[in-house]
Amino acid sequence: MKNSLKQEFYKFRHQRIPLYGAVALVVLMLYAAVSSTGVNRMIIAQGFGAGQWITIIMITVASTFVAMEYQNRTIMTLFYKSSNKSAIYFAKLIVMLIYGVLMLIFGMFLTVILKAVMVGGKYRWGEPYGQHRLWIDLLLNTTGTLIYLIFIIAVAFLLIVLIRVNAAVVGIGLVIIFMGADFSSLVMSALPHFGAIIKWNPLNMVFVINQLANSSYEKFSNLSLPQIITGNLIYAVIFIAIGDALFKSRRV
Amino acid sequence: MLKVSHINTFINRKKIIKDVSFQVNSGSIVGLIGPNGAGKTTIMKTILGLTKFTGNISVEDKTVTENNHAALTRVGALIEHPAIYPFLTGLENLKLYSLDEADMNNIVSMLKMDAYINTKSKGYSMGMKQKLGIAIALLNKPQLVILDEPMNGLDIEATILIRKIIKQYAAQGSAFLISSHVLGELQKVMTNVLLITEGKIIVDEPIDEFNRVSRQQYHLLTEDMPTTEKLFAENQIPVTKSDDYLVIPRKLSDQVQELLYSHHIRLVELSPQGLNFEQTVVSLLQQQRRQSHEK
Repeated sequence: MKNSLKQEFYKFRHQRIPLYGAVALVVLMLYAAVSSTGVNRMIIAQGFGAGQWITIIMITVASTFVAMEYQNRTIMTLFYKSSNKSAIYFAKLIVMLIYGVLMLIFGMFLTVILKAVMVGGKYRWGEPYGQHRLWIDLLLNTTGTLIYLIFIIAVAFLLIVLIRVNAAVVGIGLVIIFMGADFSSLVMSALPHFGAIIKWNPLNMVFVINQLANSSYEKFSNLSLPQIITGNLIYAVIFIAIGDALFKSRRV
Repeated sequence: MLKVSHINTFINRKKIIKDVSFQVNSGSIVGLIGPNGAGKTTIMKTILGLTKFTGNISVEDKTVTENNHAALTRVGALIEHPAIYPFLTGLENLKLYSLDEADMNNIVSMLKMDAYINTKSKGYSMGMKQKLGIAIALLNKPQLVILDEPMNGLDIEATILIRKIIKQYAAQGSAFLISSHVLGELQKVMTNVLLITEGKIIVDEPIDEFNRVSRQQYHLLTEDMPTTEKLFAENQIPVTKSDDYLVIPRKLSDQVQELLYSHHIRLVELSPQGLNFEQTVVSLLQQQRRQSHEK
């Protein structure tokens, strides 16, 4: 495991994709800042959409990080040189989680800069407003994104092992992020009798990004805060376990 | 060094390798040869624990399973294509697996890769990539090296160099299992022959013995070749065709002469022939195919 981790970190830091991910985050947050009618407290608390952008970036980066082994045909060398195949899978997962955390920290840092540039001292970080102070809202939204990142990285890993086509995984990921919540709400309202079961569907898990800071999101997700956090983590564990089993068993 | 006992490999529930057993000893260079689809690459992948299999594989008495590759720590391999990350330089690709920097630098010099080893490997030619793939296989002083078509894409100078390096490593005790379609190249390095067809090993012997046996053949020409062929088939005499001649094992020459005489077929020529390596391989494969067909 130690050797696999060392190898995966080595590969990751020699790639350009982590840098591209960070650049993409800067561009997308800037876009969110300038395209909104006016920078308000909510957009600052949501880190200029950092949560959503980082989720999209992470799907792309995570699936590419696994797909490259199949594309470069390095998977066989990795497999025979590793004492067990799970070590490779989990090493990649850990690298992605660390990159995700770093991206979240970078997103918060950019939020502070963008706020200072765009509105100066108009909204104070320590000023109480609504449920929390502004900095606490930002921190809670970032924590919500972190929980969802664990879920979405697990999904990306499972999908890339299953279909091995990077573009397809990114496409499915985007559908999950952008349309998953709407689709889930639609199904729940169309089938109210099954609401108690449908609310646990994986597409509903995206609400965790906002629900930590804003409890009113509970009426969209129909899940309490502990439920949606647990749901995300349980799904992540299930997807990781299935992904690992597939990764080990698929022919190379 | 490497012991393969009664392995059966299945791909999509189809048995590809059928009850194969062989050994590769330290210092030996075993040539794994056979037609396309015979199972050469599958055997190599199986040894590396990359396929589902039954039977037993061990390296230095440590067992290899599909999910436990601890026995492969000192095994190097190049299977199908060089496993290279294009965003890394040649040296970075080597560093990824190297445990000994001096050994790594030595391999780079030996393979004459110094000029381009610090450039990104995405710009490498096919031959450069192939050399890098071989360099990865030779890292960390391997006890066993498995090379699948190692001469692919190499120019003549590189081919001679690789051949020399293989012999040098073997002299130091490394064992090699090499497959190649270029039999002439393989013949120049190998100490043992493993001939495989339809997932089964049909020859497993030292190259000297193989060459000796291959010379024990006769070329036969009669006045009525179609009747002769029919007659041999009826009497289960193993023959192969070579141009206008039939090739028969030397040990059966007396029996063949008697048979022709009793059927009043006039013998035009019966002469001892030394088949070359390729002809012998083709001849053996033809015999095997005919036997399978008859079954």
